[in-house]
Amino acid sequence: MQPNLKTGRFHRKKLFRLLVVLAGVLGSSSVVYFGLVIVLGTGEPIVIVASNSMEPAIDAGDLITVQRVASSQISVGSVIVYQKSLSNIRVVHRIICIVTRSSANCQNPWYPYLACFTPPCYYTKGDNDFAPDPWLVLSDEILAVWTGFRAPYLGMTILCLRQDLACPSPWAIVSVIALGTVVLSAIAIDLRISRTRGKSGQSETRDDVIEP
Amino acid sequence: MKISAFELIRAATGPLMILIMLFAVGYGAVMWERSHQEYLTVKATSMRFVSGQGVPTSSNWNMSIVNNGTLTFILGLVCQRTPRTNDCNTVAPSFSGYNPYYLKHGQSTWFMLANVNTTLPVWELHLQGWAWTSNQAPSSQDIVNVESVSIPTTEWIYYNSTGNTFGQ
Repeated sequence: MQPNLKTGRFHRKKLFRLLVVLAGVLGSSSVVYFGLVIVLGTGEPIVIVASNSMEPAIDAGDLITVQRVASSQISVGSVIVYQKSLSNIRVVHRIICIVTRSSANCQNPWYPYLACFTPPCYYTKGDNDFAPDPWLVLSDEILAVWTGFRAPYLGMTILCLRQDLACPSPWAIVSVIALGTVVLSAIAIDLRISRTRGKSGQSETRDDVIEP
Repeated sequence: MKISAFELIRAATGPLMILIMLFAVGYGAVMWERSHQEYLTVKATSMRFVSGQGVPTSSNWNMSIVNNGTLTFILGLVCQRTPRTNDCNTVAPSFSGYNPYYLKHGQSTWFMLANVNTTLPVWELHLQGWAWTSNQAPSSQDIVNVESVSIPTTEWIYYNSTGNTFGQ
C-alpha cells in the first residue's frame, strides 16, 4: 500500500504543479491583456492584419496594437481601424484627407458620388492600394488608431489556427499539426526528464541506504 | 525555494518550443502567401459603339472586360465621372443585372454602358466589384450577402475615345 500512496501523492503533487503553472500562464496573459485595454483605452487593443493593403508599413500576418484617441488627435497620415456600418469587416487603412465643417484638405475629388453630409468625414486608402477606399469613414466608425507597434507573423499563425480564410491553403492544417506536434513533444520531453530524474533519485536513495 | 538552472531550462522548453512554432508557421504562411499572391482586378478589353441617345453628347456602348486577377470577381456598379460637375452617373446595371454576374479567373464578359457622356474624349469609369474566395460558384443570395456585408473594390478605368485605348 505504501508505494501506491506515494505514487498517488506524487501524481497529486504533479497535477497541482501543472494547475499552478496553467493558472500562472492564464493569469499573466489576462493581466497583460487587460493592462493593454486600460492603457490603450480600447476594448480590443490587439488587431490581426489579414491583408497586404498596408504594406510596407504593416504586412499581412502582423499583429498590431491600437489605441483609442480623441477625434481631434486624428490627422491625415494616421493609420486607423474602422468598421463601416452594415459591414462586419474591420479595415486598417491610412487617412489621406479629412473633410471638416470649415475646410477640406482633399486635393482630388476621389469619388464624386461620395458626399460628406455630417462632417468630419475621412477618406482612407491602403498604402499598397492604387485607389482610395470607395466610401467615406465617419467619426463614429473609427474604432482606434495604430500605435506604431507590430509583431510580425504571429497574427498569421493565429489566423491559421482559427482556420480563417485569410490563411493560405495548406497552412491552416499545417498550423494545427505543428501545434499538436510541439505540445506532444514538450510533454514527451518533460516525461523523459522526469523519468531520468526519478531513476537517478532512486539510485541516489539506494546509495544513501547502502552507504552507512 | 531555490530553482536550479536545470529546472529553469525544463520549464522554459515547452513555451519556447511553442513560441518558435508560432513564428515558424506564421513566417512560412506569409512567405507562401507572397509567392502565391492573390489579387482582385479586371481589365477592360474593348469598347464598341451601339447606338445614340438622340443627343450628340450621349450614346450607348458595349464594354468588354476580362478578369485578369486570381480571384472570382463579382460585378458591381459602373459609373462615369463627369469632371466638370464632379458627378458620377451610373451607366451600367448593378450586380444583379449582369449575365454572368461574376467572372472567374480568365473569364471575360461584355455589358452595355447606357447613356455615356461623350463630351470629353477621355471617359473615367469606376467599376465596383467584390472578391469571391470560395471554390463554389456564388449563388444570387451569396451575392446579396457579399454586397451588404463586405467591402467592394473599385477599378478605375480611363477610356480614350479618340485613340480607342484604355488606361488603368
